[in-house]
Amino acid sequence: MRFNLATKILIILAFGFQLNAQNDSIGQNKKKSKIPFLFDDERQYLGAMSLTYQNPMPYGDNFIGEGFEGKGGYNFKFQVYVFKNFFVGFSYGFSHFNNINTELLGSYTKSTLEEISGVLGYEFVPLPKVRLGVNASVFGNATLTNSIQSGYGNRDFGKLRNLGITFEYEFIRNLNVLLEYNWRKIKSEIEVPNELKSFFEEGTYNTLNIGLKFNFGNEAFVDKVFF
Amino acid sequence: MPKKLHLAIWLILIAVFSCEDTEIQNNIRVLVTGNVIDQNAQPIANANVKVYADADAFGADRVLLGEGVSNASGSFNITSLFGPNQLFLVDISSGAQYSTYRYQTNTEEFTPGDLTFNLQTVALNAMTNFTYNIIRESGESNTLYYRFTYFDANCTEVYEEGILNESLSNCDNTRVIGSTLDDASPNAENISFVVPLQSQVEFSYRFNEDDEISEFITVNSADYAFQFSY
Repeated sequence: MRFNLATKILIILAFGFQLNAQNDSIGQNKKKSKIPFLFDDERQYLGAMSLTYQNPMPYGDNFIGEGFEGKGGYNFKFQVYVFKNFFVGFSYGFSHFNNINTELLGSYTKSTLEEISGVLGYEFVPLPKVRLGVNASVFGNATLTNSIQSGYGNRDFGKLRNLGITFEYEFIRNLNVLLEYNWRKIKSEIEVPNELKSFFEEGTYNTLNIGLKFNFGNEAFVDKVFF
Repeated sequence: MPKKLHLAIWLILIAVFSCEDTEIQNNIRVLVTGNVIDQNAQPIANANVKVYADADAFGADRVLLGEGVSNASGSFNITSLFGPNQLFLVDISSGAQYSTYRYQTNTEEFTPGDLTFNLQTVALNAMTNFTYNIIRESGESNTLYYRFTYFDANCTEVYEEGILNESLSNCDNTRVIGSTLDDASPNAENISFVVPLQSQVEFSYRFNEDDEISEFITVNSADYAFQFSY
């Protein structure tokens, strides 16, 4: 229910920004890039926010890859286009996992992974209505909340690293369908015996995200502030 | 004054009997390792290993921190959660056909430096039912006093800071079961208890006011049946 409300708020904001953008665009003389793949001033935005459902897919010979089974999650991202389509922002999300190998991890049934990070990236505009993006996390943190039995649990902490690629289709102005694939690695802080160090020091998983992205504004931050 | 006394008694009772919460630490795992064999030094595969924590022995929740089974060679390596509690327990069992073993320590005072609890070799004895029938054939007014003394193979070893405390441990115990047969109850029929296979059971009896006689029975087969008449 919480996300339904968040989605509604985002839709209202998107339509608000859309109206604003349409007003702003009246009378403006936009230019296309000489390298159209890199940017297009007619499709320039100030920022965007996205809400996606994500399917976490553990892999690798580590505590997440061997011990977890992905059970869904959500991600929220806010980004500001600093210069052209180069953006900075932050990402907040969580992924649910079932523990499928208690002998390797400890006796807990499920884990919720909270993912928080800054984001840097660039979006290319190779075709009308289409955007292709790459992004990477900065200063990411991950918190695994493990549920043991009624009323009991513990937490594991780590640093989150993320590399992502995105495909977007702008089906109406300011509103994009977003498909995203992420490679994620957690550098864990879990204290373990030497025999288990290599298994617990990193956890790896990918996510496949699908959702909506709402754009606002019609010029990059630098253009808006300095020109 | 009586009201204050009443309140004080309640406060004392609450303080004495209140339970602590079992603690599980963040960001830590321990390794519980060892090897399970039977009384003939043969490995026991698929023995259950369960790791528990309990804040105290007075009703706090016992929380399962880790679990697994031994492999074909009897060895096990269980990754477990961990916390500072009065009771840190490792229970090893292999169904009703084997004895049980418990490793117990206090992790409020002790955390192994290498985060490993190495139980080394744990021996479980194969167990079997010992069923006896004692029938009176000597007629009325005769009495038989009897008892069986047998070995209890279930074992709890208590460790303090990694060192075995034998006085607190509870292993190699003997158990006694017995009764008096007389006119009110002349026979004991199909009474069972569980004993280690290949162990000896001491059967002691006294017929009326005669001297006590003891004999040793070697339990050399499963579902051992013992017959006696007086």
